[in-house]
Amino acid sequence: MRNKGRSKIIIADDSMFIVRQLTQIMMSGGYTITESVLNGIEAVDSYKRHYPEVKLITLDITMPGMTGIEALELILEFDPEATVVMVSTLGTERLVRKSLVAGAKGYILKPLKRDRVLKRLVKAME
Amino acid sequence: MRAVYLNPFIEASYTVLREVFKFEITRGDAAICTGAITSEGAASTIEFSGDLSGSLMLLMKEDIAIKIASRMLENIEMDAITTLGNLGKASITEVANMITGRSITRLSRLGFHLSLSPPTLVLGNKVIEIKDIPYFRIPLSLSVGIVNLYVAIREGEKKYEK
Repeated sequence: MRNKGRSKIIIADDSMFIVRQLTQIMMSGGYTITESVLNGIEAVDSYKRHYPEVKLITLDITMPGMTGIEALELILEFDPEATVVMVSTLGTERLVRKSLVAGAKGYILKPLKRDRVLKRLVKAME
Repeated sequence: MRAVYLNPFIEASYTVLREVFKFEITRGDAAICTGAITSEGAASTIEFSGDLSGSLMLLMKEDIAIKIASRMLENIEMDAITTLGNLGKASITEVANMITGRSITRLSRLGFHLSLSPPTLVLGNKVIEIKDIPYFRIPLSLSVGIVNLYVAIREGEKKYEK
């Protein structure tokens, strides 16, 4: 198993506001943002380009072009050990379960709260 | 439109604007709109589909949008804005996204499963035609100005049963 130490993270979210907010929260927790991208296709591409240095990728679920769930499946196909955390405004039981069954290591609900986000990241990388 | 479908949107708008972004808020009288809506400067729209279908729109004057976006950015330790650039636009669309997301999560607990489209933002004074579903308009009076919440919902085959 690869070292899951805290460090490099990719953020995928089509909202520039959420990208800025996640960046601010993660940097305050000591993480480094390797890259931020705005859709699922770029997320998969970014993960492949930064593999194996990247330790975690966050995926928004509702993104244009390719959803976060589709990107999750492609990333796990490329790297079955990938640490992927979903981020969404949607907290439906069905979607959370679908994400976790597909292989996500965590699920963060928007609006984002700093402490909750950092706890989820630590837990996902355990 | 049944209240059981509309109430989650009203409650979510309160939660997001008051509890998350700390705006004082009072609600005006709801009205039904048909025909066309005139955008007042900034209009953020999200569509949803599944067991119910429809859309949510947030309409506000551009200076109000700038004040709301500034509050959101200040909350994440960024500078306030004076024009509605890309980051300001993203902030306003995120408000609509959070309100709709919370509403849909609430509706899922009643057994209605819905998915969201990515939000869009239209700037300027434009006429938005309402083709087939009437909108409920709920004026929300914030400390920085008025935001009009529009919600249109169409029932599918699945109906709410108490």
